[in-house]
Amino acid sequence: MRQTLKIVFLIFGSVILQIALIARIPMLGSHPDLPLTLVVSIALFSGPFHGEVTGFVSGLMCDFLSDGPLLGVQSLSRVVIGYGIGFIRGKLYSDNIITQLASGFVATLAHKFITFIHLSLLFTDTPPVRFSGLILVAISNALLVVVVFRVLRRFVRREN
Amino acid sequence: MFVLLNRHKSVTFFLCFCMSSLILSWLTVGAARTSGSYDDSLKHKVSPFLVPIYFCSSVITSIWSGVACIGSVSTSVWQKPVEKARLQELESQVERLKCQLDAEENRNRESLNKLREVCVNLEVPAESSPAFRLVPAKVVAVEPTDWFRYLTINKGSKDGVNVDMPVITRSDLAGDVKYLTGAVVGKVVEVQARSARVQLITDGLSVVAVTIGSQGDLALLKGQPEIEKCAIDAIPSTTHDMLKKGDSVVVDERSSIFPPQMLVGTISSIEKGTHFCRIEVQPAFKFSMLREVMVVLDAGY
Repeated sequence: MRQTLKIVFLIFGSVILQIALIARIPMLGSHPDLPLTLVVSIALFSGPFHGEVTGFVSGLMCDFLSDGPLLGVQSLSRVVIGYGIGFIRGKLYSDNIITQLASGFVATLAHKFITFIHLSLLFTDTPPVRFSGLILVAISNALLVVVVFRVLRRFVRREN
Repeated sequence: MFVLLNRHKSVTFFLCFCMSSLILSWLTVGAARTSGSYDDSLKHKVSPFLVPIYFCSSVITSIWSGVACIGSVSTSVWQKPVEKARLQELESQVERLKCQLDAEENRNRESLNKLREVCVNLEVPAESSPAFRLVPAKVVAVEPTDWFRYLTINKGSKDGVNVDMPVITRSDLAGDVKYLTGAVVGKVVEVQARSARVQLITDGLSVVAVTIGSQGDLALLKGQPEIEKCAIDAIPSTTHDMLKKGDSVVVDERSSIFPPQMLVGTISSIEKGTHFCRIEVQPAFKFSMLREVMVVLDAGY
């Protein structure tokens, strides 16, 4: 129960920090994504179930807090990323910094790609996905995953 | 069954979450396809629960801006003299460039006046004086609830834009011109200092006097925002026999707002009745492609 509360607290904290501070850091038209790094870190730390739940909750919050009218776009990509990274977690040594960096980098690219595909299916026009600054954001997200993973290790007990 | 679901808990939840997300997105987009506007009722219902998040984020933002303000004050206090000198140099450079720009503008104005004098001396017929004055404008905002009805442009009263001025599609023309090309987009309905709201001809409240058919019959074109088109109702059967799909619809000469003979669109469908018929007109512009438009300041007619 305490573990769940801690994770809920982390989700809320990451979303608040995202809209209050991190969304104001411009990176060629885009910005780092703290809730996404939390999803990656929790998936690496606790496995696919916690990863996908975190992805769904944080994605829905991002959808509701965004200016756009669409719902479910952010949550879908984050659920897929949370489950995917949690699924391959058993095959990787998640405490390794290279695994964390690679997961953060790949997750950012996957997030954009899934959002792009999802919006392409919804709209006939070109979907409004920003690809500028993607590599820069992917690098910053990868670094953030390392930091968030360390915060998680300090606060949350690992489940096997 | 329950044991099986519990054993594959992560897969089950994964599928449930994916389905929920897809259903949510399809619901919001589906509402936009049928009614022309996004259904944000769910967002409104949830918004009270998001108030604490907004409050926390505003507190953090204000703390951060306070810290940034203190930082900028301390920076200005401890600013190196070299940086100050550089700043002053740049400011003086800006002033110098402004003076150069003013001088250049004056020179251009004088050249234009001289050219006009030459034209007068050459007795160029008065007919060649410009009939239209156009101002190019960028479409800067489209409200999600006002799709196919209104848009906002970046030119306002300070640029000479006024209410009821016609707005046409972007062409290569700008400034003073004799002949207009392009197609009717709508008219200005609200003006601010640096922006204006344009009512599109596809808005339900828009009415344009147009000419149809080879005989040039007068008809009233009304907007149909739900299908991104316009329509003309109650055309007498004597006229509709001469109409066919693809015929151009142009502004009537009796229109008090729009430039006469300007293209409005083409006939996309004709519903023939016993005594009257109804035609749908596809506007000559595509709403999703509107990036730049022209405001006609002086119609000259």
